[in-house]
Amino acid sequence: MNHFYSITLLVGVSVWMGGVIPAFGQKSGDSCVRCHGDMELLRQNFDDPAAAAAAWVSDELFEASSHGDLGCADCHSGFDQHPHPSTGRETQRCASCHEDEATGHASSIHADLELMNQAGETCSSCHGVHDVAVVDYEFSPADLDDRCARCHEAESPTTADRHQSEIGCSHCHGSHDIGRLQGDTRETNVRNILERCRDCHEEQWDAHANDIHGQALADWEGPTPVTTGESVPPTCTTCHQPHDMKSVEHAEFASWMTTRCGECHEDAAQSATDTYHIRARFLGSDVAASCADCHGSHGIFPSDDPLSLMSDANRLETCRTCHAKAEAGFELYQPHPDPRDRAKNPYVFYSFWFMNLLLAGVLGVFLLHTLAWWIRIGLDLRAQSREGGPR
Amino acid sequence: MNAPPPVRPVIQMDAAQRGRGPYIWRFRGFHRFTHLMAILTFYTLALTGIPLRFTCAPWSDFLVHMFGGVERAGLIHRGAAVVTIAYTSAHLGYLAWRVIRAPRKRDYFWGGDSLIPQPRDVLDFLRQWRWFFGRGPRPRFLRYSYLEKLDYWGEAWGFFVIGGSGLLLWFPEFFAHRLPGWAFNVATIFHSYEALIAICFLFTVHFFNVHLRPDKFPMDAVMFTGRATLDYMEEEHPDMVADWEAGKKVRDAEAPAPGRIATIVAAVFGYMALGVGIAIIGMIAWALTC
Repeated sequence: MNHFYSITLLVGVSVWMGGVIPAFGQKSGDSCVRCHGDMELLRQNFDDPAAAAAAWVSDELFEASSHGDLGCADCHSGFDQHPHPSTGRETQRCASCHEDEATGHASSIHADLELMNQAGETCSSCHGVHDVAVVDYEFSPADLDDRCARCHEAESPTTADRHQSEIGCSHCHGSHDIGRLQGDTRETNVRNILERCRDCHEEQWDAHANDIHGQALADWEGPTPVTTGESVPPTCTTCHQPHDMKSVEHAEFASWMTTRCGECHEDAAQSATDTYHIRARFLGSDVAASCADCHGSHGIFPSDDPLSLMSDANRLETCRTCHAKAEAGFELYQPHPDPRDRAKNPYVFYSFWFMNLLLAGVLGVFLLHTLAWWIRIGLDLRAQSREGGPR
Repeated sequence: MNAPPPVRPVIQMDAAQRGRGPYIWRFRGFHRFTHLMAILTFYTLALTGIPLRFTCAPWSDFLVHMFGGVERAGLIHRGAAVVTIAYTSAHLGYLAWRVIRAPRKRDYFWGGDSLIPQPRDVLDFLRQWRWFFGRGPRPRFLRYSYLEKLDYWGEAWGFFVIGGSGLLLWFPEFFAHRLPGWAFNVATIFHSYEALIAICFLFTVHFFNVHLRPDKFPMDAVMFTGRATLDYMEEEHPDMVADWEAGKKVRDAEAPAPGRIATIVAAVFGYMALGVGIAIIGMIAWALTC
């Protein structure tokens, strides 16, 4: 009987223990979930409903997560007795397994407590807690964008952005060691951002590297870190607006692009704006020539360079991309006329002044004529009404 | 002799219907048709072209969208240009036919019925200024005053300058065979400035002289109905009436009074055209601030 009692007790305790303790080390702790998966129970035991919600774990979500093979205790050590203390136990940090990522994060802007208002972003800010997912698994670029957008709403890509949902924020900005845009030697500094673009746009990258913009960048001895406001030789993002990176076929791209070129090439943009080409572009034409149609985009050279689309040898051929039947002489059109520059284009200069004088002369004389007539009639009507005449 | 004055509204819609009858035919059907076409095409050309002149203006995008995009606006612009060339050619043909059939061809080239500018027009212009300053009587005009000649020849000059430069810009590849490339730069300047002069002149000076001056306000529909009262002719073209009365010239044919419907249609159309024209001047003024 004693034995029977002892055995029964042993088996009973074992069964109870088997339900609780051993399971703590097993795949997704059934026994933890017995309490932590039962929201009703948690609500009864916590005064604060928010605290109850925080203590809740969905078994399904956890099993589906990339940590689904781990047990609760792999992260939450020191909770292996029941009832367990509510606080005072260290939760295992992610760094215990993900050392490289943690080191990267520690040097990142997200770990800069001063800059982050003492809060800081931790692993779980992006990866979640019990539903932690693997990047490139269920954690798609769009998912990542959503998570970044929680704080970086203003920098979220627009719907016109070609990269939206195709590559995530981290492709250009990096992930764990994410830096400042105007930062130091981290991934997003001016030169490195080019390398990120290069990963996909090799051809454009090569062309740019050899053209006049690329040469300017190569010769640039700009300080690192780059200070805001300093003029930087053009890189990809100078012309292709980050976060609003429209396709070159997009109706607004060319007119935006023209404005962009004009920020450095002020005179050229101003004079081109006096032509049909650019004005039609500004009004939404997608066939009128903009800067890049004549000068090229990733392979731009000064017009005295034989490689230039605007060189003497290539110019007519470039015109012909739109004006198919153009013949010699056509290329003498001045796409950047400056009516104030007599030496450069005398005919434009003289016709500009002739038409301005005609405008001022005709309107000046006849607006005065009109005004004088009006006054005359007014005076006559006043005289008539004084005399009590007709009307 | 002393017939009772006709009962008429306080403000007559059409200045050419004011005063005593009878009505006189002033413009024939073809003239009126040509002028109507000129209004329709000019407004179309102006509204489709002006966004390019004032690209920076806030209304330019709206206007372009109204025409269905810049390419469509360009098509409409060139279509209206073709119509302009067509009715101008018809006008020249009509004129030639009239001259050939006229018993006294000289009247088309000199004298009171001719549109050719003459020394008298210069004198009338100076006399008008003298009148403005109260230094003399109002000049007495013949069938066409210097202002009407200015409108006519202004349009003729505008037709050749704007039309010629417009054709150049429409077919650059064709014209570049004979013209140097800079001709297109010059054509751009001529086209846009001459169009601006035309718009500003017509919608201010022409509008005031013909419609808005207090003694004609709100409008003069003689170019729509083709007829005017004798009183109106005595006011606006007194020497022509004097020539009739002196028996120097046969009086123009008497006309029936314009019908009520025709008067209303002419007035509504005329007010709309005046409104749009003045709105365009407002748009230009707005664009000057950008």
